[in-house]
Amino acid sequence: MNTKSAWLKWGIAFFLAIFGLFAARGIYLGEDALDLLPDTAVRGDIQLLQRMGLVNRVFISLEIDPSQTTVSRNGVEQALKTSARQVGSALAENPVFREVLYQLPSGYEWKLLDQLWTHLPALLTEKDLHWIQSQLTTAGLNQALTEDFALLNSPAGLPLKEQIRRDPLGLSRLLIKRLSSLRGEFTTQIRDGFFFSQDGRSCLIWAESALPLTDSKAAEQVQSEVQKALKQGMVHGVNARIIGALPHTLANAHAVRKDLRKLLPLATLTLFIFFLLIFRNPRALLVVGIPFMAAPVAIAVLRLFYDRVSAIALGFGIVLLGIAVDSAIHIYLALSRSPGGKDAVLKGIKRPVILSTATTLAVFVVLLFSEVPSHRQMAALAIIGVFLAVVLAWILVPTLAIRKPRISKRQLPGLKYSTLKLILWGLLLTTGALAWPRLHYNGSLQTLDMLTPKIKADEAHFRATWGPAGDKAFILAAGSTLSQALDRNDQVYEELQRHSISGLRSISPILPGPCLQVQNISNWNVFWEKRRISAEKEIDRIGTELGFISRAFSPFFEWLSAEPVILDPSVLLSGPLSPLICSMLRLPDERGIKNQDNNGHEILITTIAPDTPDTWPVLKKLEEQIPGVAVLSNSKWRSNIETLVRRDVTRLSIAAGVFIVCLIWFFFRKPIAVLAALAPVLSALSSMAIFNYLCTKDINLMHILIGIMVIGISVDYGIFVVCTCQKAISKTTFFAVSMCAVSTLSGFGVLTLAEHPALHTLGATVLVGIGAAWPTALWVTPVILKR
Amino acid sequence: MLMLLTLLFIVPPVFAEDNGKLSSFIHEVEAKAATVKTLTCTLKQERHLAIFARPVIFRGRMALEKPDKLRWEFTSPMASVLILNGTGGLKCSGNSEPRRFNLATDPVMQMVSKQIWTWVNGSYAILQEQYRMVLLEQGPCIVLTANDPKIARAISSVKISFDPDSLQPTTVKIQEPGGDHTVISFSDFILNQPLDQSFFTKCSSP
Repeated sequence: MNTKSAWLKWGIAFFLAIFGLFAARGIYLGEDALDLLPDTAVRGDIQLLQRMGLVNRVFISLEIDPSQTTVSRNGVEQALKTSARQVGSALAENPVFREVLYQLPSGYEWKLLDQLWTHLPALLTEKDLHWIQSQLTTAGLNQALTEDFALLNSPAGLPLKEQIRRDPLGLSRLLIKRLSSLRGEFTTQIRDGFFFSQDGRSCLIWAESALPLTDSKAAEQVQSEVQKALKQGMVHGVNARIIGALPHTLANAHAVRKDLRKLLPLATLTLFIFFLLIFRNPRALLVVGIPFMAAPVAIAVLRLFYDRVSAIALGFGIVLLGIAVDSAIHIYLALSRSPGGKDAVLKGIKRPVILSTATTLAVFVVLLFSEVPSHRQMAALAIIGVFLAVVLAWILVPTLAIRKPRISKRQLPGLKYSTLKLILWGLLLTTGALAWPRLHYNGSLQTLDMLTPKIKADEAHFRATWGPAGDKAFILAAGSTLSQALDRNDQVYEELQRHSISGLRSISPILPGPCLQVQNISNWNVFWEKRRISAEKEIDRIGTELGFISRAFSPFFEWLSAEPVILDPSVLLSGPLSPLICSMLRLPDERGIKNQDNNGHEILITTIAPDTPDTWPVLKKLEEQIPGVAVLSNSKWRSNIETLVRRDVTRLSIAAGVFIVCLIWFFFRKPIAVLAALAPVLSALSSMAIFNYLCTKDINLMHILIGIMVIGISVDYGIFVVCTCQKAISKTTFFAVSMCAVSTLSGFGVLTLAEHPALHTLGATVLVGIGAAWPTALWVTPVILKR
Repeated sequence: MLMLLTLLFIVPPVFAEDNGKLSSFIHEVEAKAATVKTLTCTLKQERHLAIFARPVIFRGRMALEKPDKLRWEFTSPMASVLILNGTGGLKCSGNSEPRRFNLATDPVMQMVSKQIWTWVNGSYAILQEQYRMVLLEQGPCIVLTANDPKIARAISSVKISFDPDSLQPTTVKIQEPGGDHTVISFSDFILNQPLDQSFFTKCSSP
């Protein structure tokens, strides 16, 4: 090799890499877990939840340190109230949070009852009128007025005097009952506007982050602000538990960072020592590094197509460039150890290098059609990167290889026919084929979630303290106007009530839509038209008998005579319950929320219902029955994502399989050669299926991603061995395949030590897949060819 | 008004300059109250309300177990019971079915319970934040006038008379704007005796 030409080639390569680095600088990396979800319905659902602020909600449960047993009940309450006030107000002042709820305004109950009293006729339904009817009988009135008389003479009588005069029948109880609909299954009790647990030893704050909590960078910022507020606001003896997406995102990000910090040096060191021991030449290390010079250029090209690149896709994409290392090793070993002239060696190895690159690219081209955006980005990066890496390897590796042929022309190991090997391989494939249909695709991202003992304990404690247990479904009623959304929300509530589904959180009982309000007022007017005069006489008669003066309840009848008034939503939206109502009602582009979907201009109202096998059939039908209604539930989400990803994976796997088989057929033109080349792939797939069956009986997103990579690597083993056996082009192939396999196994095998489930899965899958593909390529592929 | 004038001129009230006496008296009352864990007594309540045709006199008894159990029971002329027990309670009147309530979800009873506990706990120091207090040597008794205009709309003044020896309140007179007023008299105190828990769980007397 001409030294000048070699330096020129390296110079161009370095220039390209540096240019790539320059062009790729400032690329916007998104660390959002949502990038792992399919584009279609499920992603849309999550975006709806984001718009409602449900994904980005942080729950902070303040609690008295259990060791503080000597503190009095009053002391506990005061400590919690002070902490909640201080932490809550600090969060409310922080622009990172857009909605913080920690205390309802003082006297909110009375203010609300006063506000709603005028509009009561518009809120009460026919069911309520039936109850009033039952109160209007002589016995009912007698009981109600007797209770009023007793109440007035009880300790409660003093503040309730005017209330009893204007509401002798206790209609306000119907209002109070309605308010509980905002609480749903949460077991809170409100003391001085603060949200206390039943045992009074915990106090709840909830805040909506303005930053996406599924994004690890944003989560770090939110966490820092929360910790600052807690540090400043919590009084001595009070602890805090943070619940929601925040701790999950942080735990995952920390675990990945910790694992990579620990394992990357270990993997690098292992590979370094391995290559140094085998090649005994520092130049060999450059061979391994060449493919990665393509990474900056590939990232720069990717930037032309995507404004924002998923960090997950970028990380995996670069790992996938490692596939090209195999080509570099094959070229290096062939050039440095095979007998014959350099040009002849290169000519001989050109065919398997092109074929293996073509099959790898084929797999990634297919992945470009994935529903999952991060898969597409990863595929694009891998296609550009692998192609460039192989080109660089082809150009640069010859400048490094020092020819020391060690293998004689006759050396071609493993070409003896062996029935035993075929039987063993057949057994592996049969077992794999039996295990494959028994595997369950688990689409839940929870399988890849780093669930630390603290998160587990905090969530269990939160459920025990605040309820509710079990999954929740979110029913979103959308409308182009608030009236339309409210009307649809009423239909949702009515339907759920009709099926006796309890534990609902809805604004419908206190803020019905105009249609229902008009109907309620009409029913109210008809009801009292017939009964008002007789009721007034009867109440007067019974009242005077009990000791009241005549017309003691005149305020009630004056109110009854007045024209009922429709409740305008602005009354509640500006009232004391505004934070609670707003948490369930989202107006378009409220507080600068970016529209993440095409329906961002719509008004959304949430109803929260228990998501159980019993309620699901009813919830599922709501979408069909009521226009503008979407039902989002964990179970639906799980099943949808499972269906979508399974469909995606099946479609892509078939396409990739067909593509690879066609390519190999195109190159080898013989069924036996095709089978021999694919033998390592079949072994890898079978062993992965058996391994997953024995471990969890599940396969998840990570298995699929790594599975594709393992297929890409193992098919290369088959191709090189088949080419070698067919044309005896390079006598170093078997050694090179082993080198590639051992380097891959040692590099990725280290990841089995990772704490993070996703990295652990990555390591284990590669270990098992390549662990099976390697011996197959060495011992089975030649045997098949011999047959 | 005449009575108030009489009080102002005849009985020398303890004003700001004599806050020491008031503080010391409150301290004494609170110290006594702190020693009381359980209490039962009989009570008589006279309600003079404009919406009542005539003054209504109720008789009954009260049972209290600190920190959060209270039974307020009238036996005549009409049987009625109000029980506060932790975060819940029970209300019965006449022969009607007992009605349970949860303080977390019933804002009316929540407010009532808060008021009752403020008075019953004998936390006069806390009351001092809401009311202007005047100590009248005779009785002894204290007169409270609301600082908060919201409270003042419901209560003009509260006059509490104490037993000079036990320092237990013997009479509470609550004056409302517009002339309505209530006088509650307590007697036959039994302190720190174990109480049957059914006092606080059932309307029927044990």
